Amino acid sequence: MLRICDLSKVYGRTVVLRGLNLELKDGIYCFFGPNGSGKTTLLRIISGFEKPSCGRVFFEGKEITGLSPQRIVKMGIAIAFQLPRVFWNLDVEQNIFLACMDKKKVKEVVKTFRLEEDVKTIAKKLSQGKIKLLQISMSYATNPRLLLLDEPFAGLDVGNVRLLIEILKELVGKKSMIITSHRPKLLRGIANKFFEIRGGKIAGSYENPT
Amino acid sequence: MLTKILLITLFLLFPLFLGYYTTFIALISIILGILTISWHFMEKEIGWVSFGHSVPFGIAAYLLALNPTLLFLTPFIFLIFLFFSFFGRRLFPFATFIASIALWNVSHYFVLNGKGGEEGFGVPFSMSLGNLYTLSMALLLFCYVFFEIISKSNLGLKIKAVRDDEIAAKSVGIDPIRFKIVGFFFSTTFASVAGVLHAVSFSHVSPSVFSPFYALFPFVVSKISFDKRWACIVGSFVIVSLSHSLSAFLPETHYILYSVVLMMIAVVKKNAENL
Repeated sequence: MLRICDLSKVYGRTVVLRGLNLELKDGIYCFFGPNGSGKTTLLRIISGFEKPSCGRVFFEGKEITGLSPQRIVKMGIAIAFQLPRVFWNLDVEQNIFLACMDKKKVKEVVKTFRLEEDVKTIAKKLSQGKIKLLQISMSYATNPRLLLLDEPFAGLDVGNVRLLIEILKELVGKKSMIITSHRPKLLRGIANKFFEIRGGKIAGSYENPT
Repeated sequence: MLTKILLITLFLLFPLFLGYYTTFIALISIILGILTISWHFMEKEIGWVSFGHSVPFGIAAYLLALNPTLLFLTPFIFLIFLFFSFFGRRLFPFATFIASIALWNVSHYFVLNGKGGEEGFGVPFSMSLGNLYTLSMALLLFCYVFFEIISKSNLGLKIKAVRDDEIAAKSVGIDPIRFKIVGFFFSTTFASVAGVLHAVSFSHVSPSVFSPFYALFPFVVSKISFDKRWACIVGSFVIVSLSHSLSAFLPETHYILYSVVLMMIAVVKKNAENL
């Protein structure tokens, strides 16, 4: 599904990714590692929000390196950022509708992400947890083959973490995902494989430790 | 929306029965109402504040005066304005305002076949006040309905999404530049229509069409209209009427009015924040 060849990213003198090679089949993958290890940069490159310094990215056999984010979304990869990016002055329903342009799909997504009570609430009036859920639901609504979630648990309270885990469990087997997290333990029972990123390289990997 | 349209229509019909001078003042208010609504769309829906709406307004007026057949170029005016806005604002703030001031100055030296310059050009055809008023009124209503419909459509929703967050827009597959250009096109096209009507109503075009008056007018009216599209029309009537009735005692009253309105808005907003 996703193939990454010799991917590197340099910001000035800082090397964030160093010749990363990876091949992922359908499934759910967790990337974990310390701050600055390159997890977010990797997701931003896959989703087109960042251009690599060198290397190539292939999705379902087609090269997507350097394509615009909009094009990559249409090819089937969607991203939810660590700091939520939503349409702040539009309500929840409109936010999700913009991602799929299909009212039936909106209803389905709202139900999946437990946002029924907030459908008509303006995004900027939502709680932090709901905003995070809204953003993930928007990415999900684009109907991607691969969903990229950058630190989905960051900034969430215990209740919202539980809720998100519950939702992610429901998506197992339905969507392929790459999830970055500081807390890989939360993804036990969800992710098929765990990759540790350190210094811009894959430092190790292991299968789901159930 | 139908009730609003009906009320606006009644409001606009009223001056037709109040004599020549009042009808003419109302005509100017209508024309500037179109300019304001087009500007309001740009600010509120596209999220692009520009003090250069006098650029498409003035260029369209000049094209009509030079040769009415040149009006086919009107849709392309937006490209020029887009260039000013898109690249200019990256270089320095208030780029479009500075561009409109520059055009205001340059147009003083624009002479063709011994005509033009400070005195400007005559418009080669005219219309009766009644007909021009009716046409302008119809165009204002069309402009209002058009932007209301666009605003509530999927296209309008995408334009608002781009206004709210371009990165979020990209992440759900919306191309921000494409929708900004579309919104920009709508807005400047109606500003151009206002420019053409302005030229016909005065049968004359002079460099004043690029003056700061036309650049600042939509901003001030939009502010006193509290972001309501229908109120832009009423606001336009209020400012134009006040400017004209006070200018007999005090020339250039509109600039004083602008300052008062802007200061009042600042005070009201500050107090509102403290409440």
